[in-house]
Amino acid sequence: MPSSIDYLISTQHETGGWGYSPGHKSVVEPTATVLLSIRDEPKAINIFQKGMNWLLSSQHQDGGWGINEDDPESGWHTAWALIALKHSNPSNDSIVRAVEWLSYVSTYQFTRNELRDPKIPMSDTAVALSWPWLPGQGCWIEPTALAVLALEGLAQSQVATTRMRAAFDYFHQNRTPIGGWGLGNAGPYETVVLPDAYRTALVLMALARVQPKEIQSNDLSALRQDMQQDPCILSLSSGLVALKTLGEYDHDISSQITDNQLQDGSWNNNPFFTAWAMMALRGNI
Amino acid sequence: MSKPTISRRAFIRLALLGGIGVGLTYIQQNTGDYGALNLLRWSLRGQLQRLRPPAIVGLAKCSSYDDDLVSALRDLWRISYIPDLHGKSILIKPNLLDKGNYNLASTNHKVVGAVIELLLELGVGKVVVGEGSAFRRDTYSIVKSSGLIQELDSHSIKFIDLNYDELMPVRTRDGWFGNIDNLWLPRYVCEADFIISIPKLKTHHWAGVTLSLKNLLGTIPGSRYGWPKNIIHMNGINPTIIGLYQSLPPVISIIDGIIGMEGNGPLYGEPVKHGLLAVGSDPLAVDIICAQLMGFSINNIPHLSGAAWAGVGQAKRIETRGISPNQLQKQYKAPPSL
Repeated sequence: MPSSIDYLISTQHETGGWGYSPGHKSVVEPTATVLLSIRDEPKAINIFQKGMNWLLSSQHQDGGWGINEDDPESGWHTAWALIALKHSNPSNDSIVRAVEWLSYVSTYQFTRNELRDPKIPMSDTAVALSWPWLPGQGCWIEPTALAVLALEGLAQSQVATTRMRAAFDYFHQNRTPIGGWGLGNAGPYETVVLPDAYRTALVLMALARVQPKEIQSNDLSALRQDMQQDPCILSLSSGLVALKTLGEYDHDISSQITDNQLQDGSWNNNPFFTAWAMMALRGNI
Repeated sequence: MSKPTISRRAFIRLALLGGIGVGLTYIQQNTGDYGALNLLRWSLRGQLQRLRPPAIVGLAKCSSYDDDLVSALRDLWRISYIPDLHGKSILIKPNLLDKGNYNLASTNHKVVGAVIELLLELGVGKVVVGEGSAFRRDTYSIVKSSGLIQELDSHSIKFIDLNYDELMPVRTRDGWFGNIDNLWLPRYVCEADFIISIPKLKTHHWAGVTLSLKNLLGTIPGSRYGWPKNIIHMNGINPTIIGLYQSLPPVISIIDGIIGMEGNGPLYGEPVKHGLLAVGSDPLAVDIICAQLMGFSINNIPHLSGAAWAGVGQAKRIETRGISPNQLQKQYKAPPSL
């Protein structure tokens, strides 16, 4: 049976990155996660370097990334690119530009220029300063958790550290009644949005690094409950990474992930899901 | 040297033109992102629908998902004058919801299976089923839990998670997206000859109802716009529904109203045994008829009233075929937003 590395070698796009499916154009999110999953694999040195080159070459002038080089607007993929870069290529100049972009990305309430103004009231509400999917929009749990994971250890500017603090307030405010996190920002839905494993796992990974005391036992039970209810590879893999980050090991989940590997070495024939499964079996991103 | 002079008449003309210019500029600047010209154009187009042929909506009574759905759909297809799909590439877009009662809020898998059978019988060139969940990062897990997987496997039909398909920039049309010139949409969506939108007939806490136009929001890819599809919140759900429809290939509507949903849908609604199947090639007309059969006035459902006013489909002249609407009339409990 081919290994997951063989699968990733065979599905690398000619430009160097990975799409969400074999043969698809390179996209930042799957490329970044694949780079994270293979960064210590001796067999993958060549594909890693080619992938990293694509990632670096697709960075926009403003320091951010769109879905790929065809997309002129920088957005949430920037956080994934920065996570991949800081774990794999920490001295690269691209990181400085990416940190700058992510620190000052505009929200629904604040423009980029307003965020640069030292007089701006940084004590504003958490939702005003957390992270949106795309510039100028409202904030949500997933891009906020990714931004925290990306900026953690890199954020030095006042605005970045303030926004990180706002993000933790935002996590606190948007924890669901049964623990864990869903989409966040439930306002437009006028109803309770239930937690799901993937977003809960991302927030737990972010909190574990910076504010581990903020994690509550019901966050973990919400995570495990959704992993049982929706045992897709992404839930299981991200959940297992979060649990391992918190020092918990779950052999059953690990076995479930292994059992779901396909004959071609992949999970779901999707490089993004495959990368997550590989990171879960390794234990970290 | 004499001073340049201007006659009184010329002065009045200039003043009049200037006033008109200032007035038009004021109107243009105070009609939001759409502009006065778009509003005028939409209004005229809406009125011109009165001169166009009527839209046909086929209605059938089906009391159970165990009925012969293929036969029912075949009859509806015939009486509704659906375009010839022979050799065409078709994307079936069911409505697969996230959490809660999957079978209640999502399009029933037997309806999707029956549509697939009918399309194969009609000799279509290619059929895929696609959906992009607004909540879940893995739509395929919803497919597996909804029972749709068996229908797909038994007909060897591919499922496309529209959140992760390759994306193409598509020019927005008709002015509903303000300053947004392009939408990034999945390749399978853009390259289909027809999209068959198969929503579950239900109430929706925000849009009022989920019918075939609202169901199209699932074609917006999360990989570009996030989860939920955040362009909806920024542009507004109603102009997004109307504008998205106009940026897509032609849409055929099939409404799964065998068991509908009322009240605080889609997550917390309650089932209604309605026994309705509706088919048509004008989604606005189909949605208007179905909303009325739910007991709602379209004046309370902004994306339908807006599309009707703007002539995005035929709303002025709709003819139903098959079962009389009187035999299918219900009064659904409204969602809190209505």
